[in-house]
Amino acid sequence: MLEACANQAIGLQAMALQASPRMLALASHGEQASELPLLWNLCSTLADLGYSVLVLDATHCESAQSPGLEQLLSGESSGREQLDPLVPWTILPAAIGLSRLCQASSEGQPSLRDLPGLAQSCSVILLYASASTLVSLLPHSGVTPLLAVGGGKRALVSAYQALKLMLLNGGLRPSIACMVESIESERVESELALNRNLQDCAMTFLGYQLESVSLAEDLSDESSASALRALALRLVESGLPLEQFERPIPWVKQPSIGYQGGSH
Amino acid sequence: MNIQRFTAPTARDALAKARMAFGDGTLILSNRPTANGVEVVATAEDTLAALDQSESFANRAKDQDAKRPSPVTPRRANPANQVEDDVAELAMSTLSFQDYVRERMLRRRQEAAGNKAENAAAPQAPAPIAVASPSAPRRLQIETPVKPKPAAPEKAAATSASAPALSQGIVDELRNMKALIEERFDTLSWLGQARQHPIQSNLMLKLIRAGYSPVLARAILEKMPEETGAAEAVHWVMDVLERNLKTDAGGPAIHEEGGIYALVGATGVGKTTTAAKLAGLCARTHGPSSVGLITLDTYRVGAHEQLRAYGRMMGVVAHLAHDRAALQDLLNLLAGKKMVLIDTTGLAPHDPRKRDMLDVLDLPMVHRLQVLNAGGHGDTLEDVVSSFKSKGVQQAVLSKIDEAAKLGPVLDAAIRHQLVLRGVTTGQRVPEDWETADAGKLVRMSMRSPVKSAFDPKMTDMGFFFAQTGSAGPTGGRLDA
Repeated sequence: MLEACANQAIGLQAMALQASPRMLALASHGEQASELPLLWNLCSTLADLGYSVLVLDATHCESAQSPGLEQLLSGESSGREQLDPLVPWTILPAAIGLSRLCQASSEGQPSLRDLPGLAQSCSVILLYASASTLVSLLPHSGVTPLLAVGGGKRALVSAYQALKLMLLNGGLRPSIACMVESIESERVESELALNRNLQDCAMTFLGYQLESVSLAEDLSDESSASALRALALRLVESGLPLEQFERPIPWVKQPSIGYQGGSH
Repeated sequence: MNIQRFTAPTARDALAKARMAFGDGTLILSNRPTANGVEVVATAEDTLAALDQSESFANRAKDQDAKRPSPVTPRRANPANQVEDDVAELAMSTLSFQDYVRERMLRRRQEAAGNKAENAAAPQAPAPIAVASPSAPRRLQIETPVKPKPAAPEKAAATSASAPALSQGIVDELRNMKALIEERFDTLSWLGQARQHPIQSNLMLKLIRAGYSPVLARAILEKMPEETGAAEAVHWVMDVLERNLKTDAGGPAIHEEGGIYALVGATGVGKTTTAAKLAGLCARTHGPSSVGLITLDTYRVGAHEQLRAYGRMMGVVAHLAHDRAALQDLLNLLAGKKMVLIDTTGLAPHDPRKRDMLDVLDLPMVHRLQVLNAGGHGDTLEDVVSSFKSKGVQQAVLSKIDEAAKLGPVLDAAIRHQLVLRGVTTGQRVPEDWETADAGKLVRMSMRSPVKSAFDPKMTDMGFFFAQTGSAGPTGGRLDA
């Protein structure tokens, strides 16, 4: 009755239903001012929700000073070197390692599902990579990459480019996170208007209904934290289990897509 | 070639210095943490343009492994030709996430150190609250009942206006009294007849001892054939109970059938555990990806965490919805799942929040699944079942069968309200302690002779069970010690 290891869900644990790590994606389009805070918030929220998180940063190459996925693949590093004892997630630069995996995959060799032990022991792998990298790694996989969009027209154009690339070339259906300093900020309205333009463009030129969520960088108020929690759980839900990596979900082109070509 | 080194406490400051030197076209060649902060090596974009691109690539390749594959390039699908024309390769960013995290942690530590310093200095400052408190003693707030002011002129008018209503009230009261007297006489007459039939009397006592209501017991026994022997009569009664207790025995089990189910019920009846059991059973058969979990319980502390903990064991995400729109969104997201289980806040039947919660669940395809504590008191169960009733087929799960001393009350409520039982929970273990509802087994369990209890009526008490207690209000009787 009072055995230390017994609990009411021991049967559930014995079923070994534990799914393999889920791959989530954050698309980079050069807007670090929005992307890095979002990545931070996502990681901390996922960690708070009890997920062990590994960030594969494909926007940066591995090096001797900062070993990453490449060293992990070659066995030179365990990947367990902590960035900071207070940071409850692991970050690995992964540009070279991922390109190696991607090439191996195209040659019929084992691919991302065969990531080494560190990645397999995580419950969530967050892939931070450019749109073109995501298109190469996760084509038609059913993953819904997240695009962080801050204020500014330039960010909007690059976000649209990334969106278009992922949608048309990779069959990925991204959603956007509109990053604002604070929900009460005076600039929120103008930033949200810009994002509505992005949604309108996606609908008009790509026939794609772009889902959007507004997030504050500062999570001190409960509504922002709650919105981010909901987003994080949605991303995990739509994340690709690593074991299914070689069996990507076929993407059916939406009949409503009215893309006519040309540059938008 | 103009390459410069910039050092600063944080990466952001170092990058700002570099930008001041080279303007918008700053190109960061490297950055690394140092003892004093971060060191950034940068140059101007123009410098790089002068270099031969292939030569620079070759130089870079020297540093890397010779067998290293080239950076990722997008696959060329059919629509790629259209996209390639207008999508340029996005440049690699300059500040890595690792640097960003380092910088942010540094800032956090600096802030923490600053706060600590401020706290250390704080005792020197006067504490306004401490000074203000003694001079302003807290006044004890006593709520006194507000006496209604006499409204003499209005009273007369109200009296005259309510005269027809008053006479209507008297008529209703007389009608109720008539019905009461009729029922009382009817009951007395029936009891008299029942006393003359010892088999009926014994069965009545047995049913009431098992926890069935006098209403149901009488309704059943009234229909019992007169010339039935003692043993046959017991079987006949159990047969009637079994036939009237609806279960899903003819069809697939709930976790096999699937669908969207919202588990509703009073507090502490085991909704979350039942949701976990059903999710576990469905996941075991159809895989973790076949199950969706949502909780609407934002009230109970740790409700979401509890469901999430179960979800993590199964590899299922447990979502939280605050309102109807969020629930609808989540149901769209989980549209492909075989089974979606919605856990809700446990609410007392007369809780004013109950209406709001049921409104949130009022969505097409969402079936309400009442979770009833099998050990509950008859009146409590009656209240709960009536208050969580929905349109269409009423489905229910009986929880805590193992804890119930008597199953009569819950089976009685299920029969009278025509609930379809979708399963029973027989213990705490998830998901093992779940059984499909078997009417025969449940009725047999309910009719088993329980251990003697102080609550069991005797044959001489039977009259009281059929007496109308409503007429004797709290002021109508006296307890003589």
